[in-house]
Amino acid sequence: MKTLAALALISTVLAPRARAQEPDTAAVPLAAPGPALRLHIGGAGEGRYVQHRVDAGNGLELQSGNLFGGSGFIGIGSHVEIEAGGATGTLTADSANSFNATLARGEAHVAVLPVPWLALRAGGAIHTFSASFAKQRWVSLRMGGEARLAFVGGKLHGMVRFELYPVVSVSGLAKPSRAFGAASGMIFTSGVVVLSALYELERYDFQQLGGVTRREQLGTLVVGLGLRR
Amino acid sequence: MRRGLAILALLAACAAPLRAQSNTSEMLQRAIRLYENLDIEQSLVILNQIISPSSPFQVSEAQRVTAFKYLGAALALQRGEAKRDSAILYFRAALERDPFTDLDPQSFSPSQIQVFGRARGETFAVGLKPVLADTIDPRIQRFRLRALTTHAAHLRLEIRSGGQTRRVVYDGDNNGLRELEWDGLADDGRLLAAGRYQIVVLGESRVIRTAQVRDTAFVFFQLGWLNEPLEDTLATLQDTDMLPEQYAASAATGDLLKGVGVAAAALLTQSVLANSQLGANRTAAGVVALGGVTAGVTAFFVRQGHRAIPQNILANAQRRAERETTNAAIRARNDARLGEARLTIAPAAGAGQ
Repeated sequence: MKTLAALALISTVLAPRARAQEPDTAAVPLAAPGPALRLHIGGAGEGRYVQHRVDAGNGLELQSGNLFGGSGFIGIGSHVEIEAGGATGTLTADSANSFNATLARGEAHVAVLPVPWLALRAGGAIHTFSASFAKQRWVSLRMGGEARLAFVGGKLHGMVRFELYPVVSVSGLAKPSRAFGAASGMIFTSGVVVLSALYELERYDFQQLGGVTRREQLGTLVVGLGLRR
Repeated sequence: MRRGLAILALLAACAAPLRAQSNTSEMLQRAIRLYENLDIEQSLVILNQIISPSSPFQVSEAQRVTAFKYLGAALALQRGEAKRDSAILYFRAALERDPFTDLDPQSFSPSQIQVFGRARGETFAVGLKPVLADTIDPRIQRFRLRALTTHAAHLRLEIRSGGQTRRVVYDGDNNGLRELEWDGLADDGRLLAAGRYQIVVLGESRVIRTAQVRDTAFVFFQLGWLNEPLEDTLATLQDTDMLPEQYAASAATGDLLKGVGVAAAALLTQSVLANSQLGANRTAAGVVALGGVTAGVTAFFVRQGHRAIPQNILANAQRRAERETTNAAIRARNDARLGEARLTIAPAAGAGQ
């Protein structure tokens, strides 16, 4: 899913107006900027290595596995981006008290870019953990910001993101008292090809209940490869 | 009543110079009539009154020249060497004031014309007729200029501005009146720019050999162009109009810092933002951190060695070429308009002999 963010980043890089405003190139547009509502589209496939860490009072439960999926992107002009995507795969138990499960996740968000290097994001995500004995769904609304650091030449970008999850709903559990996510990574663009590598972290802390404080965390390495135009 | 008196006094004051001029004109006409009726003595009395410094009337330069001319003509009719010499002196006085002074053979006798010719031979002056307002198409028409030397001389007529000779219209021998044509061009073959110019005639006598006898006369004129408005060429491109052709020296350092920043963010996420009791995936964060540092360091060295921005260099070259092409077209259109321009000439302040 986070590859979508990378694609969104490239959108602004390729947009004529955005490029003209990049401080590194300090370019004055030679030609008039393109249409204000020019559409950019893209798609990508992604692979995710996920570590799911849970402490529900029984010690650290650890699951990990690979997820595969894809995403789509639409850029409207150089100031609005819409992304959606999903991935699924199996997490295997890495600790004795854990269990195998299937993780499916979907995410969508809208980003507004007041300046080319900053995207203000708002969206939502759904995670579903399916085990042989139960299924648990996580739904979260997310909002935050993403800084996009253009390297000279425009082919390489760094990215740093932070999001708060003000609304989180977990089936079978109370709402977590604190939930947020962060990500950082690099995106390389060559022509229409976009390659990205990001590290994402999602953290959920729950209120103490019956003397037990539940903590959950997803740490993900995302590698994406896509096309953008 | 008082107001009426004031108006009368004002009218009287205004009328005085007019009456003086009128009196001189009347006296001059009366003297000429007396001369034509061969009442020479009476004519001489009136003419001497006109040229007298004690004359109570205003006498214009033209009236004074006419008076001198008729004094010379009247005395040339009288017998005696002294009278003849006096006639020559008066003719010379007229010629010195107006080199264009002449005796009409229809109105004056051959002996008078002979005496006048002697006066011309002894007097050297150059004359230049004032410029008359005119408009010409320089491709097919010419401005007419009239210069004169009182006797055989070397004559040179130039168009000047700012103390520099822009065109030599005539340079050669001359005797008497010479009509010249000027096509509005400078010596370099280009039309003179609009502005204020001076026509200068310089003469050197070929007759009086005792010393170098020279004379000059000049008039000022205003030269104008009548043509379709010209287009401005595009201004010279400034630095602000161009794309930077090189990355700033700080760009490499900036890239290094960005790469390190991404690496630091990944490591901080894993170590600070992650729940310390759960730990975090160090490998994933490490991969991204390594990627950030590698990208930053690579970009740093690549950028230090390659600061040129090829696409901007190309774009700037295209912009310069477009400007040159546009300006060449504008210049061509302007040249065509100027080629069809008409010239105007008008007298300007400062005219004199």
